[in-house]
Amino acid sequence: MKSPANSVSKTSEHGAVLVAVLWLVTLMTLLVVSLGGNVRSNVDLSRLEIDRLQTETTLDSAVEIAAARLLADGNEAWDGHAEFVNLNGASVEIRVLDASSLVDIARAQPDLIRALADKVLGGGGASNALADAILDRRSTDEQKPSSELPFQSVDEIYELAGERPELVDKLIPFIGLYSKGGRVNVRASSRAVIESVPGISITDVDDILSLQRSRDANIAAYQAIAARYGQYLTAEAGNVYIVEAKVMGGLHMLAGSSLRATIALNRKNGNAPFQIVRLSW
Amino acid sequence: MKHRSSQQEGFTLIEVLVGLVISASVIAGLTTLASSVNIGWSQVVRKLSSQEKVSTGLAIAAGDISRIQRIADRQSKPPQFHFHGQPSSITFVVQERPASGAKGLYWVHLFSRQTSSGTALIRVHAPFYTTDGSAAAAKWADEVVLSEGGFSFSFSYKRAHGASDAWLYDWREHDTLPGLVRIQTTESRTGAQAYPPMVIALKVSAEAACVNIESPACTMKSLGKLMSEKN
Repeated sequence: MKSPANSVSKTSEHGAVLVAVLWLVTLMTLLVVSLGGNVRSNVDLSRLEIDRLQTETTLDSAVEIAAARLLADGNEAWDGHAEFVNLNGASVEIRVLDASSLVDIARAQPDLIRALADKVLGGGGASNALADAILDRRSTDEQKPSSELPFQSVDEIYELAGERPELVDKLIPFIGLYSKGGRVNVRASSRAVIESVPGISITDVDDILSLQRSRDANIAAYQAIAARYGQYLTAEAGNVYIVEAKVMGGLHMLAGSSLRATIALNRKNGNAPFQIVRLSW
Repeated sequence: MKHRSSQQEGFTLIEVLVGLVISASVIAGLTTLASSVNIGWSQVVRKLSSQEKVSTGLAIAAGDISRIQRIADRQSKPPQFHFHGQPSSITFVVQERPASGAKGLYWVHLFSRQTSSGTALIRVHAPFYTTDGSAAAAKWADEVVLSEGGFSFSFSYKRAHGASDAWLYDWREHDTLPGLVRIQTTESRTGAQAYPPMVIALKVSAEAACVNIESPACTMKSLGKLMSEKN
């Protein structure tokens, strides 16, 4: 028969055991949480590093793919339209623009540079001052050998804009250093650049834009129009292209990362058929 | 007859004492364990945080170095690139990151400096002016500590072309740019290698003048070497 005293003693023992068990469970939970946190931080850090490297490699590959396309087909009008490729399981947007479709600040006719600054910057003192500064830099450099350019990088015009960098921000999408003889490739140039050509008629602007829209590789039609503005326009592509690659999404990719590379093709060099001349963020 | 023994009504003094001793031992054990877990955890957190800082710092340095622009001082005789590479510092010209708000070309100077907590990898920049393009004239500003702690950083350089495969700690070939730059991270205290060396390829490999490959200002035909102008 159970005595009540015996029962009280047993209950106390059970209570003590319960407290001990609770202590142990709490301690073990703390240990597991700490360990889990440690492992998770380590894994997150490694994963971020892997994602960053994978994204960078993917963007580099996208530039190489664009270069391969350019080397395979030099006749297409590369006007910066978007194409999508799948690389390393990521969707990558690639845009290729013929850099000779931009106004060459080192070699283009001065009136074309002034007209472009007027059009893009809205005219007035500030846009004239910037155009003058660009042209002054060219004339200062006239004593230099003809092979040497007054600019080694298009970014140098920020230096000329002084306290007004926002003017350059607006102008820079339309200018470059990569033309053939200072003329703009009419096959890939933008409306703003075409409309800046001194003396160009509205009909010719419309005809050029219509040819571009139709994606018609009718070189003769482009050449006919370009010939009328021979000192400003050409239908010939250059050997420099601007490639923009952007990761749109994908597993282990940093979506939104992009790379803008300006590349020069040298088809004669089988070992290094293209080189990067500018790389921006 | 039911009889409640006084001995069965509670714990004796001895039992309470033994219980207290056992509890104290258990609590002491638990405290020691918790303390050692805490110390271990703090060490792990410190190590992770330091790894993260080094990794982020090196990633920033690598991003800058991979985008080095090929800008030359063609007035100097013979012409030379705006680039300086020493074991403890590297100076070059890049287009700044958009997030920095800085527009145009900038000098970037990465160097290591002794601090109270070890060695720091520092980044400073200065606007690059073509009219006075020397690094000596640059007005360095916006100091950023890329990494700080018990690590030392050193730079070395490898040629892009040529037979030699050696890493050079002092870049003296001013008419060319290196093809690769290496950053080594060592423990300041022991001198042991802390992380695998980071090797960065210079991605910009030709000049804007290469729109005309035959131009003397384009180095595509001279294996990256600046040629003197022939008038």
